[in-house]
Amino acid sequence: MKFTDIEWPVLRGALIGMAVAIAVSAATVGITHYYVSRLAAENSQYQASLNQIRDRYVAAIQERQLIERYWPQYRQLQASGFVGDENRLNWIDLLHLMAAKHRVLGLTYEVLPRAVAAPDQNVNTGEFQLQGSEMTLRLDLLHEGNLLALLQDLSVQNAGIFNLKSCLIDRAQPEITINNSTSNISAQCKLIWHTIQPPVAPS
Amino acid sequence: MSGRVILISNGHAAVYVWQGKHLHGPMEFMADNDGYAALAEHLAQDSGMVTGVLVDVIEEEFRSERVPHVVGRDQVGLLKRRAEQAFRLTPYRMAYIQNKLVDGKREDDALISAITNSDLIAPWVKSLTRSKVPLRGIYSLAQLYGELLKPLDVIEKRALIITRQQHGGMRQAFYFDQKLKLSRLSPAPSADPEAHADQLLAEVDKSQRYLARLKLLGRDDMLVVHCVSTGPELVALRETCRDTTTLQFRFHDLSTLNTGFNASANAVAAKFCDELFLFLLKRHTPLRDYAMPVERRYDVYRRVRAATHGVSAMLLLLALVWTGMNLIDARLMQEFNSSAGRISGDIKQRYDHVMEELPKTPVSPQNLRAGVELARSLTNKSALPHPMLYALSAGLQGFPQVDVQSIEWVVTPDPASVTFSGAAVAATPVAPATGEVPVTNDLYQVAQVKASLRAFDGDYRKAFEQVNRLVATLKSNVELESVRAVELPLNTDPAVLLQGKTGVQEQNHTALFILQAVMKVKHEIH
Repeated sequence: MKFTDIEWPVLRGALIGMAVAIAVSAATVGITHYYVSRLAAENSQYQASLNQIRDRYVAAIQERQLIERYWPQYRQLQASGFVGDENRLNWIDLLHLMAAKHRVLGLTYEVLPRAVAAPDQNVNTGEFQLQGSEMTLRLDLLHEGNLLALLQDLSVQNAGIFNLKSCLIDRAQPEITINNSTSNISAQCKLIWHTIQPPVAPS
Repeated sequence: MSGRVILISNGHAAVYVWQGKHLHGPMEFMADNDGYAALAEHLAQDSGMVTGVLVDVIEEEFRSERVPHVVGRDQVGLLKRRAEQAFRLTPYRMAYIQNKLVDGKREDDALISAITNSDLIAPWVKSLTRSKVPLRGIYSLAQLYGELLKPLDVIEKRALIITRQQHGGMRQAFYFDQKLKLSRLSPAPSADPEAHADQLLAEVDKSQRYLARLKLLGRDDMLVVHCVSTGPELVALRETCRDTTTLQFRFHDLSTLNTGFNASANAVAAKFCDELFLFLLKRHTPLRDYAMPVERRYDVYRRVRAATHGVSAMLLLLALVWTGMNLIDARLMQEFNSSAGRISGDIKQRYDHVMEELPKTPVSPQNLRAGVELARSLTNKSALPHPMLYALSAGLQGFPQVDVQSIEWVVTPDPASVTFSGAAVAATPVAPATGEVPVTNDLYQVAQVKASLRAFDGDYRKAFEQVNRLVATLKSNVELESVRAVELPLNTDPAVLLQGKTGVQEQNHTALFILQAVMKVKHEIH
């Protein structure tokens, strides 16, 4: 059957019906799809906004926990001089105090310029710059026990953090004399006073 | 499901309508102009009903031919040409393959048939097309005998099935090897059963001779005749038709035939096979028919319309479902957007509250932690000489003859690499010395003790024994990782020069020795 032989009037109703069906279908689907697309875009914005504020809230909670846990200890470290610039005057005062307390007959000290410290081991320095100043102490002592007491006392004075690297304890003379003004022991100790420089505070 | 069938016989047409399982009719029309017009008028009342035409006329011929074995379009073309050659004067013809590759040759058996007098059908079909009635097809009654083979239990090689129709007459269909070879119709006007039985015998005889002429039946071949009838006519047939050497009769009662067909309540109609064939046509519409495409166009249009309506309905349904899903999505998203806004506002309030309560710190909270942990790490890694000196002191308590000269103490992660100021001697390795600082968090304190034996009388063996005993005593302290004598009072190494005097009282003998001890720094656990 040729195309021109087709009796279109017989099929007219069905074809019109299909055209109407296509039009109605396309219109309803198109309109609702457009509406849903618009809502989906809004939905993405709401979702992003919700995620963002939720993340910020979780971060704030975590920050609050960190502050509650570490802020008191950090303030102690600030007070001890570990955070910030070195307070060498404090160290010297402390040494004089310790020397008097532990009957040190002679004390000389030498502090090298501060330098960026390379920790002996894998110490995590975070965003801080770890710095260290090497101090050499030479002490004339009546007894080696005075040295131990001085070092022990120094470590609990909350005057900063130091690492004792070495000590050489030698006899000042061949024979021990029981005399409060004559030293029997000479000692030379090296220690590193550590400080950290805080990173730039957040604005 | 409803459908209409027009049973056309010579000079007559009967219209039947199927409504579900019920057959209504017949509405009868004579084959003249009034009849054709009346049929057209009748059809116009329900022109949309699908209609089949069942033809039962004398002028139908059958021919069996051998054709080359071809397939697909070639076969269609070949059969069409053969049908045209065989029956040039009628458009109502058809051909199909019955047996393929017969006798081992590349040849097929084809059956070609035609209604040779198209004027018997054409006016009726015109009435249909004029009323735009969808014509399903024009079928021959002979095509439906195949459906009777099983109910009649036709298993013979050569079988003749005979039925009687109300207006058509007596039709015989010859089957060879279960395949229709020819069918012929003869008028059967007699209502008298005995006369009909006599006519049947005469027609069977004619058929025998005709089949013999066509070489479908040999002289001695047995022909089995299956007679389908009912009532007194069947009784008369049983009495009249006797088996011979070449003829056997089988009688089948139309009313008890196992075809699924229920005989009509109409007593007259129940005597004939018309309704049986209408039922068979409804149950199994043949694949081929005599109708020309142009006559079937309204059925094609009907199918196109149905398909178009179906597609339209599917489109609308799809659109409805899609729209519904879109609306559900929209509703869900609206709800989400609404609740997300509310939740965001709530969280924002809580966030602001937390931020207001946060104390101002000079560095970020993360850096607070880093600073504290760094301080803790440094503190943990610091060590004082107390444990080492206490351990040495405890060991020396049992050795008053030992005079300690100096103690050098260092803290190191790698005891193997320690170099002391007095002597360039490494401490006892506690781990294999690889030349690199081991990657470990362990720290060690190493002490080197220089000492001498008091009142040494030059007896080096005794001095060695005392030093070794001291080393053993120190080693017994579990806190010390290792203890060893780096230098002994006398260097007995074969690689170095050894000098001394014997037999002379020497007051200035010294017995110097050096010990090294290693202890692990114990970290505090926070």
